[in-house]
Amino acid sequence: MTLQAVTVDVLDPTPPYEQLRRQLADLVGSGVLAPGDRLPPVRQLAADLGLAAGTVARTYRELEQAGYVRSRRGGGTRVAPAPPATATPQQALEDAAAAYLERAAVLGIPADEAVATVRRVAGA
Amino acid sequence: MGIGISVLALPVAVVAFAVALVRRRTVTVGVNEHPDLVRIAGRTRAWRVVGLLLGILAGGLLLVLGQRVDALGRLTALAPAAVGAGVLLGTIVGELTARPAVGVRRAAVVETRTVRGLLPRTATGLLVVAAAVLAGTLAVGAAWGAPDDLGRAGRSFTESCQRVVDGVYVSTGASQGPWPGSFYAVPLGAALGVLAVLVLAALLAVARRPRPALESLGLDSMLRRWSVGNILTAATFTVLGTLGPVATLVALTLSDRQCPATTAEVVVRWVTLVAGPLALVGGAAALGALLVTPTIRVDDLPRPLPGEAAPVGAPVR
Repeated sequence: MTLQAVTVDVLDPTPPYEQLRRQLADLVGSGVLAPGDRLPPVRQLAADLGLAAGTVARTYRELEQAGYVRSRRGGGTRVAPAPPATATPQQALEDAAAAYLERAAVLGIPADEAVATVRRVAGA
Repeated sequence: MGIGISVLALPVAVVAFAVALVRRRTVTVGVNEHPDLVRIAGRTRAWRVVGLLLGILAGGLLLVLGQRVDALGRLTALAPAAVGAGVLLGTIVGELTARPAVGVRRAAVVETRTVRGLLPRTATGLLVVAAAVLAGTLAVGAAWGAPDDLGRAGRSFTESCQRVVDGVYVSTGASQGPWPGSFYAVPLGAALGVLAVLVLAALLAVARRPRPALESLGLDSMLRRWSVGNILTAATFTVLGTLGPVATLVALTLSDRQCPATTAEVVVRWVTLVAGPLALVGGAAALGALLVTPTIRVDDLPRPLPGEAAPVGAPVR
């Protein structure tokens, strides 16, 4: 079984709860996390990421409102039986690329330089 | 007979202790590899060793001074529990205070870490069986216990029956002690209850400790398994260290009867006759395993790459 990871960049202008929500929504929407799969407990994920438990709780709440997951007291948070299949892996990658280019623009870096940076990092 | 088997088990217990001592597990990592995990491993190990030393000190004090405070041995009987509690408390403090450094970019694996997922089957099964035998022995001891000559409830085993002597029915009976009745079972049960809570707290602390960097996942999982193994070993030592003397005492008392034994008494006698020496050997092995906790060693020099000319000696092929 391949372990999936989520990352949070605290310097990113996007709030951590939103970064987390996007990634988990992508994992669920693209089918990497199947219906019934259990998400990490709020406290565990918060401790692993060095975030406040409230931040992760907010992410889970928003995912639940969007129909991606279901939370049950004592039963943890699981992927909903029929989550919205909004994102294919390709779509998720394109969203991530768009977010990357947006951030590069905020930093004043042109798109071609940002793409060259990706190539350089990937080749390293 | 019971004490004879227990004495015979002593050399085996010494061998089991020595074997456990030499079976130390060490994993070597490169000088710059997994720094976060090496730091966590060092911290958890240091606290575990501190807990073990304090536990041994407390256990030793109970063995030596406990007899002065309570000459009937109730404090002395708690010595194994003190050692186990020390290790468990050290483990809890180590696991709760070991935190990986958090950087700007943080990552976490989408997984659910549970205590059940960390428990090794064999060691857990052994602990459950040992705890069940101990609980059963203490329950039987409490049920069959009677007041001793000074009226202390549950401190002796009393029997009475009628025997035919020279064709005449004669009432006979005897009272033997010390017997592990409620007099000893209540404090022992309370101590073991506290220990069970500590075991659960320690397992939760291990499961909930935050993961370090993603590249150290494999080593981190191994470190957790080591910690869980140590927790189970500490609990097993406590249970077996308590079961050994208790079972031997029961077997000794039931072997020296004046009245015909009931089927239940025969069964209990044989079970305790076997359990006593086995617990002694197992407890010695568990103590040896506790003294040599696994460790992660950091190699002083970076490893040469295959084919690279080694700074000293022949090139590594």
